Amino acid sequence: MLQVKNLVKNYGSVMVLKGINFSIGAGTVFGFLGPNGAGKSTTMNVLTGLIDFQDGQVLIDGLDLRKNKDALRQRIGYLPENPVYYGYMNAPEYLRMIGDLSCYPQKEISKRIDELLELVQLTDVTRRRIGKYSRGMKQRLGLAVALFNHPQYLFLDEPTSALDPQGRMDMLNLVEQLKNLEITVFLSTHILADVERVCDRVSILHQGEIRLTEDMNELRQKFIQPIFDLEVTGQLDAILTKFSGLDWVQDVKVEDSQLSVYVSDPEMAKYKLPEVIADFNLGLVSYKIRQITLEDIFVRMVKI
Amino acid sequence: MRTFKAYFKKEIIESWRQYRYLVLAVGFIFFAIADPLMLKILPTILKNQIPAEMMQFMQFDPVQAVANYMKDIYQLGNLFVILSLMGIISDEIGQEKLVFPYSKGSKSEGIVLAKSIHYSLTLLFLILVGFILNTYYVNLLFEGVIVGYADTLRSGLLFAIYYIFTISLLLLFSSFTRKGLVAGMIVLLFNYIEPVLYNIKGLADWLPYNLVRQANMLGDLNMSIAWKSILTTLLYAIILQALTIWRMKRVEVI
Amino acid sequence: MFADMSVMEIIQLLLPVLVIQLILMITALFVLVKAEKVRFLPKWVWAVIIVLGEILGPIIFLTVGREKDV
Ligand SMILES: Nc1ncnc2c1ncn2[C@@H]1O[C@H](COP(=O)(O)OP(=O)(O)OP(=O)(O)O)[C@@H](O)[C@H]1O
Ligand SMILES: [Mg+2]
Repeated sequence: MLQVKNLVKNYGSVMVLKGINFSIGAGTVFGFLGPNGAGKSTTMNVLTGLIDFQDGQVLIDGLDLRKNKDALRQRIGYLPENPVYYGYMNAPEYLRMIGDLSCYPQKEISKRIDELLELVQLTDVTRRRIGKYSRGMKQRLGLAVALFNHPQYLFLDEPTSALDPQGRMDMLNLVEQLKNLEITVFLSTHILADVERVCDRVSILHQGEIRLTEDMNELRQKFIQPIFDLEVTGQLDAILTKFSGLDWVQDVKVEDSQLSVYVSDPEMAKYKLPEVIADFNLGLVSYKIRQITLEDIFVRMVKI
Repeated sequence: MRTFKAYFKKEIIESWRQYRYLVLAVGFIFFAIADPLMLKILPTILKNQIPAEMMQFMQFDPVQAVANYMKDIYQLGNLFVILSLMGIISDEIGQEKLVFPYSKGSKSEGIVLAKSIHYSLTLLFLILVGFILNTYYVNLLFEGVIVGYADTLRSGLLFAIYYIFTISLLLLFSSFTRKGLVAGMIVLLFNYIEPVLYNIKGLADWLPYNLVRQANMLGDLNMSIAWKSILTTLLYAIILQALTIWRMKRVEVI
Repeated sequence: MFADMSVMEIIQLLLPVLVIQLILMITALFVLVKAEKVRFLPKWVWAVIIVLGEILGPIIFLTVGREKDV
């Protein structure tokens, strides 16, 4: 269980995190969304104990992060946005160092290195110095580093950003496997399709504030529901007044002759909406039911 | 201490692959040989350019030749050590190299001590080799009272302790900046100021630079004075390294 | 003085110095040629510094000019 309470982080006079709250249950894959500069990486750096914060509290398994840094770091794996290595080492040398640093059982280090290099598919380049790796290869190696000591909490900051399509699929498959191992994954990304695929719960962060935190299932029910897109000719005023009086219509957005009708009960709307249109003597140019996506929610949340 | 072991190994790999051993070895060993040779050739080169009566000042004995080597490795050695070690911690912080190690729970004591002990041992070894070679060469090249290996090795030891202090100073300043050059400049400045401070009465005994002066005594060294210098300098080194560890526990690595 | 030394003896004395310098120069040139990038100055300028800079040329290249971290 990871709990973040009223977390505030300042860089100089700039408040980057303005008191954010959320909690993540064990074994959850938590998607952390937000536009560039929202504060995703900053949050991750705080949660992994790498930078301090000004106010609030972070609890991991009920332990205060500030007071139990050493103990908690043993349970955390972090793949930062831009992983940095000692470039003159090769991957096995670096992983061996990580093994020592995380106090991994001495005798099992070699086995673990082979296992991980296999997992992230870097077995062909074990002799090459990491400084000569491509960005995607560095990201793969970063995953191996993050996973080294079997962490219970895994923080992945845009883990698929430099990967080729195959690498991206592999990474997502892996995250799904981790779910079965009861590992809690905290995943920040811009790629909404990835979130929809693997996440159980999402948060949208914007300008240092959490705009929404929701279980994916509930999100699908609550937000991910159809919108009725209508294109009509004629006077719109009357019908808009009518819509605002109907309790099954949540919201109507107008753009020229385009109407987007958000409804609370899509099943009912399928029957009622054509009736309403017919009542107003309007020309119906097109009538489409659009499935709202996470992308729409994202755009809506970060616009406000 | 697994962090210590990991970082000690890392420093060996790094020093080897980044040619740091080579640079440091040249700093201490090349001059151990080249220095007496230059002194020897100097009069021959200058023969036609300076008056004959000046020539007698160009005749050195082994003791003077060793003193000349010590003067050079005080200046050049410091420069070489500072040039190659100024980024000793600041590079790690500035380039975010510590993100993975810290996220794995590495101990800052281990990191700082691994670095200080690794480079202290490296310099101790190179300085002793340098002094042995230098002793051999000065005795071979110059006429006069022979310099004993025991005397020069003892001086070498004092030098090594002086450099342990320089390393500790570099560690501390380097941990407070993200640019190695800044740390390097501060330590270099300190090195220039120290001989000036040395002239202030009562202060001399307490300065690490006193070790360099003591080393210059060779056979005439008074061990009781030397011991005081050794102990105070080592004490400074311990304090500096403790401060570095304290700093490294708080530093933000990203 | 050199007067009472044979040419061979002088060469023998100078040999270690020359060897160190040569090793250093060759190492630095090797690093320079293999490097994809160097810092502050173009490659050919570094080459000149290494070859003509006596002992300090290669040292300055190895400490300052070499791209760290590869
Ligand atoms: N070290 C720092 N000093 C000052 N400001 C910083 C620092 N690091 C981040 N910031 C600021 O904090 C804000 C959040 O940055 P952060 O890197 O957390 O964003 P992000 O959500 O990860 O963005 P991206 O999607 O581009 O990775 C930005 O406005 C950034 O300028
Ligand atoms: Mg980021």
